[in-house]
Amino acid sequence: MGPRKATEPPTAEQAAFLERAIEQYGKATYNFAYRLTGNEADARDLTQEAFIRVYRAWRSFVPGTSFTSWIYRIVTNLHRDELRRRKGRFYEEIPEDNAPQDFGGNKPLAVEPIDEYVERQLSEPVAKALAALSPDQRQVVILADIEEYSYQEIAEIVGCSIGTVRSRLHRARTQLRKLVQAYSRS
Amino acid sequence: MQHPKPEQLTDYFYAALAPEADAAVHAHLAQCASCATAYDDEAALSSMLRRFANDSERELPRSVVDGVWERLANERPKARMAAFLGAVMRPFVAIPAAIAIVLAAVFIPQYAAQRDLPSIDASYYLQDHAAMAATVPFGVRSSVPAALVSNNDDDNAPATFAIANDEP
Amino acid sequence: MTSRSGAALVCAAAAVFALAGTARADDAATALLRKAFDAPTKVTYVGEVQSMRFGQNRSEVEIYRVEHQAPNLTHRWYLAPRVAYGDSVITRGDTSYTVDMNKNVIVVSKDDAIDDRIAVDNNFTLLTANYRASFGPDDSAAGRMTHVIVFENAYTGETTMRLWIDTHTGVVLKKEIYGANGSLIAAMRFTSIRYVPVIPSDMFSLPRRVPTVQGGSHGAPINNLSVAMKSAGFSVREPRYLPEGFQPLAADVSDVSGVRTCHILYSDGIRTISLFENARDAAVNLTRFREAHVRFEDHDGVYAEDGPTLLLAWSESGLHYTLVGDLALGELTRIAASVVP
Repeated sequence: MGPRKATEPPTAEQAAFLERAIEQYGKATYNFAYRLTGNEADARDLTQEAFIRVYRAWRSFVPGTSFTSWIYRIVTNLHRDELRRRKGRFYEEIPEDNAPQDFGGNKPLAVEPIDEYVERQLSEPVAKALAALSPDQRQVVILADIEEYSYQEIAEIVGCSIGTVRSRLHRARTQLRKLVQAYSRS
Repeated sequence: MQHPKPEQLTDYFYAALAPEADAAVHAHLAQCASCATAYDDEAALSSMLRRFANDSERELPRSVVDGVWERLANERPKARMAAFLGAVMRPFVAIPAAIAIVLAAVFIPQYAAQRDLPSIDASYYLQDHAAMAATVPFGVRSSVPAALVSNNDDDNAPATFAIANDEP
Repeated sequence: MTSRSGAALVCAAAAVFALAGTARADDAATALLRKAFDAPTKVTYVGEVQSMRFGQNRSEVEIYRVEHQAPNLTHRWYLAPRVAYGDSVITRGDTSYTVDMNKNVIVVSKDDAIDDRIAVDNNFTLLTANYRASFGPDDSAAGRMTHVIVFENAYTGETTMRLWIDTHTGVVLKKEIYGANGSLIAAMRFTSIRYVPVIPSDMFSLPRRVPTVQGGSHGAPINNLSVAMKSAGFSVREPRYLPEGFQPLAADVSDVSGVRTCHILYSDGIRTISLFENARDAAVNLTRFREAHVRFEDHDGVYAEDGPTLLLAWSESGLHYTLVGDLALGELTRIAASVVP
């Protein structure tokens, strides 16, 4: 059966497909979107739009292939479109949010934190460093390290060559290492 | 084998090398302490990212799911609606249908309200108000110290200074 | 909100500056107030604080020890009320760790507005625009010499607050806030204070082997109303009437029990009210409070008292509204009646 037109009425099967997709992959998709965008409001919009696309294009999903790869590809494309749409505005917001915070000035912080506290503080530089990467670099790092996809799978999701994935990932990791160190020091 | 390049080490970490190259790097790491350290750095960066991912994991907000269904409900095809209206406008269909719609309009919202709508505990509002109002430095809800801000950039005063505790 | 399209909170500051001309505070008193605002970033101390809020039927008292290391480390250890005895709140900048000894858990919450210089400056401007600050007779508090600043409402002429400010350090050692009829509605005082050069770091350490959880219910305040409006996902309304001098100060949007709720805080620099709106007509559950009904304009509302704080809730056109604040019921219903599409 060919793809349905958007104006065709929804079937129970189509609705059930969407319901199952949200139930099984909603949380992962939202977290992926959150890591890409770095904020909850955009992650909500992105996730919602991605599932609308899933609903409309449900017939194009090939059973037996990875649904997660498919929806991540949708999210990635939507995110790229959104970045293009608000180009300029997006980049203005990042540096301010991600500049190292000058917490205690030159004065030493008098905190000897416990393990959980240290863990929590460790994750803050990582969040800031991730957010400071370019959107393309952030995508590949998230897909490679957090979602644990292979170069080949990342290339399919992002829509680029394996060579591009490799070079983006190398650059991203080098950059990330520097940024984490800088934010940890601050 | 010569020392692998940093890129090769990363590819090795992601298991993206061809089998021969993979075996060569594997053998080299077993006998080269500096490359083994560099490899551990690669692994540490990834494990830090995964730990961050675990720590920052979020639940899917209910509003996202509701938003999807609401939007789809609003996108019902207009063409079918026109055909449907044409059919129901015939009197022998329209009159009973109108009665049914009126009854549904009266009873369904009440039923839905009782069955589906969540309620929010008043404590939430009181606590959220208290939390946000506490940021007004000398407001009714503020606590001690009243205003906490990072140091002023243009202020070079030391963070602490000697103060006699015994008042004159 | 549609009536004030694009009403960013920066506009609040602009409006405040416009008001400043009509309510010029005594310069020296204002300078001292500025010192009091900045004191926590410069002065390190340990002390004990009593804080009270007085309601018609019930009052609330908190007693806590406070250790504050400038600029932004604080440890508060609660002695009262009884349910909070032994609990601690450790604050580092904008992050607070509430150690709940009864539940054996540490709740971590972040509040951007606490560590926001612009927010604090806006508060200072708001306070000095809406209240005339003048010196009262010097006094002592917690064994220290203090200058007393009296705040008179620029519109009503009522004395609303007195601050006792340490003459040397600028730390506010005592505070009293008065209601419309002159009655005391809130008070704070140090019962003891000692200034120290440094506080041992373990005062700000968290107890070991206590699990931490994210305090997720309070979203971070944002300084732009239009952002809050956009992320709410429904048409947020703004009251057309607010008591003189009140301005929106902060806002957030959260999912509460699966319901998108927009929260806007309004203040005149001393008094505060919160307006919550949700688009799903999710009613407020008042089962743990003594609920009363009130009719205003064409609306049926419910209200309840929580000590000195009043909560008023009503629905209109599928939206549910809740107003919370330390104002009289008549004032709250007047604000509520002005929230119209």
